[in-house]
Amino acid sequence: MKIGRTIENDYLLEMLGIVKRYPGVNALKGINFRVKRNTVHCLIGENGAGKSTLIKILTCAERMTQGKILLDNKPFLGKTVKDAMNAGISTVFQELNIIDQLTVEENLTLGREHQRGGILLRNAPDPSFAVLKEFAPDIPLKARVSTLSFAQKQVVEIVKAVSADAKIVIMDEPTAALSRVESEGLYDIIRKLKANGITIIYISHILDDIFSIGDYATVLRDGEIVGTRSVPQTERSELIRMMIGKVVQSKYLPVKGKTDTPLLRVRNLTTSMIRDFSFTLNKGEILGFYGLRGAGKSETARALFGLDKIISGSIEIENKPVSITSPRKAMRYGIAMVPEERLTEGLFMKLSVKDNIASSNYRGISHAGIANKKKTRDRVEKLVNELDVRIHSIEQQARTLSGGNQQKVVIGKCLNASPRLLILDEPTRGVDVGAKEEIYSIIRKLARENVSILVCSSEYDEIAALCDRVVLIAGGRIITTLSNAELDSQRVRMLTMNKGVMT
Amino acid sequence: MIELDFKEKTRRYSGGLKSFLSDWMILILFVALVTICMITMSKFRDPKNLFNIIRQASFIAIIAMGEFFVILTGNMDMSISAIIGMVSIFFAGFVVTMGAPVWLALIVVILMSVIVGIINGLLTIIGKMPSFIATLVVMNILRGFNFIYSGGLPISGLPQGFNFFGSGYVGVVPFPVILMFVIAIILYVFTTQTSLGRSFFAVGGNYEASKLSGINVRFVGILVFVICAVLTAIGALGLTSKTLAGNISLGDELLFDVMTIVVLGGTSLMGGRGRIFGVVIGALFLQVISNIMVLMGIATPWQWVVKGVILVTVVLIDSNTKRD
Repeated sequence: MKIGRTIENDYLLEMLGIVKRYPGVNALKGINFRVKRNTVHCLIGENGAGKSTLIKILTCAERMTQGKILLDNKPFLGKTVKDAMNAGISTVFQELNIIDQLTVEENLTLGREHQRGGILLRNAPDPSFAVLKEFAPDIPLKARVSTLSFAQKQVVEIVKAVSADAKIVIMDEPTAALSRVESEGLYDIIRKLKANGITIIYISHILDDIFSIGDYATVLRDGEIVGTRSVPQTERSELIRMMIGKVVQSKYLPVKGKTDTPLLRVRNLTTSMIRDFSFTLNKGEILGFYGLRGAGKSETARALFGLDKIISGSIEIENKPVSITSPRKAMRYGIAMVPEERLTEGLFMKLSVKDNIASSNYRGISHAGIANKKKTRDRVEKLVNELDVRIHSIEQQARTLSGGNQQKVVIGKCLNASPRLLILDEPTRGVDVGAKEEIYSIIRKLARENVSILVCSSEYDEIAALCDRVVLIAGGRIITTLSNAELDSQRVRMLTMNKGVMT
Repeated sequence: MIELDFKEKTRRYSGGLKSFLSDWMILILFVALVTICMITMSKFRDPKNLFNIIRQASFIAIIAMGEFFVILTGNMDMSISAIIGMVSIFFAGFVVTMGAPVWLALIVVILMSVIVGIINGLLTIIGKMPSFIATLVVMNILRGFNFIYSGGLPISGLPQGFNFFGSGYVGVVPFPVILMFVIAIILYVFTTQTSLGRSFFAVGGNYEASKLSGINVRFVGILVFVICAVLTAIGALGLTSKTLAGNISLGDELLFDVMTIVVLGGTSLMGGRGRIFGVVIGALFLQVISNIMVLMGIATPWQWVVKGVILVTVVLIDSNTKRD
């Protein structure tokens, strides 16, 4: 740091008294968020805690209702995303913003190409090329971006952000889609960024990330700051407590409905993404699939629901071999699925709660092809009550609901088809803590009613709390199957993470 | 030192045989088709016939190069057939009926096309209409104006000298062929060697990312429609000069051919991918096929069927291959 700079204020960024009100919701309730120069500052909290809103305000994607921002001790008054970038605030989004059709070189220099009179200068050196070489010597400049892996694309985007004279780089859950090895690579890059004097705001709720690279961690909950801690001097348990506001984790409750009669028996199931999957699922049992993203959890669910083509292997339901080639067929066999992407695959956002729930089983409410209005309403209202979906009317549009309530509607939609087997892919992603517990009890209740449940999750605590048995997978293969009593978080993580992602 | 290293890496990196094939498939097919026809059909290899093919392909290739830019950014311009009619009938009207000098009429019809292009662009980019609908509406409105202006009748009697544009020769080479190659070379340099040219690929590839990279996405988005309209106007003038008469229905059957050519040339309908010379080869390819069918005495309706099958095949292949 230069001599003469006042020591008492070494904050690069100060967001003071930030308030953001949406109609009906106070997303941020007066937040004071300070980031020290040249540190990795983690911003953590449950979904819906206000992390994204805070970042959107900083990057000028949203306007704050109240408050002020100081950047380098000067008020920052940017109005557009472009202003924020010009002020040195760059973001690496989860959905990467690079252009697949161009080469790495073209992406790095996009919008600020070296040119003379509009004509590009060939092989003109650009500072970003040296940065890329330092961070990722294995990425060729002339490679088309579409040929790179997700992790490599992410590096390109980081390099692009850094070479645009960024002072602050914001990373939004950057390891969510990375394997263990790739995550380590990203940590290295973050350390190098720091060594180059860049400040990083790191959004993540993965504790491994935070303890590997974080200097400070600020915990947000319900639109307020719970506290800011120096990471090296803090225990994991303390951060967890700050995040969820209680120490007690939800506990495993064995379900009484569990039987030893198999409903589903899968032998050597192979698709383009998974190899040789064999397992059984008993009636009334909750079976978990645990592994990293891309390991084969969702892919198993998709195969069972007729979405991915089955190359070889057999599926038996109640000892009868079945051929599932489409979701339509899967539903006929009594299978229902709550998909991973609630917003795009699970719900009709513009339709009402009633129409969403009714959509899975028009046959049950129709006479001669015409839907009976009263029957529809009764059925939907019964499900809404059972699942405790909080709405003021079943005519309310699905997009107006909170994440937890939306997920309950998706589950309601599945239950309307009276399934024997319910597949849930990441059932509580993007759902707040309270609703999470409610969804768990819904799942347990269904199992008691003899429905077989298959839960795919990348949250260890979730499968530990829910599942009677857990299938561990990595790289498209089953590693082992454990009963709930055999679960051990350290061992499970080791087993599923070290194998990496199948390429 | 660092730059040297990178150049080395640059050279070593290649997309492999597979990507080479998928990039140049159309050229390989074209060469194969021409070779077979040269060997088996005596009428085809007649130099007069070969020159004819290139000459007939040239104006439609120029129009297709215009449509190429729109498709490159992920949009579509359906109004080109009406622009052709507009340019043809108004140009003839200005010169024959109103007695305006040819150069002035040229400038006026090109300016009219620019305005149509801007309207297409504004409706699509600022008005956020799907380009398919916006340009379809513009097409119908233009057709109406063309008819109102001319009463639906052709206007003949353009000066003989204007015939050079569509039928003249420079030495032994037809003028339209020279024009097509000059335009293709200029556009090649424009798309590959300039930063504005690169931004078309960027905007077509990922609109949001382009915006965040500081590209004026709105300007680029509107500009492609203007480029398309102007190149269409040049093509329309060439087609008009062949008959020395303005005709509102001159372009009615061309939209389909133009789309086929652009896609044949390897342009992705999703945007972000394509080459100018691919379009030129696409135009030659389609013209060779038409020529063969004429030589074999296949009736026009059957030619439509064949062209339709070609377009479906190419789009099916494009939609079902994963590009790296």
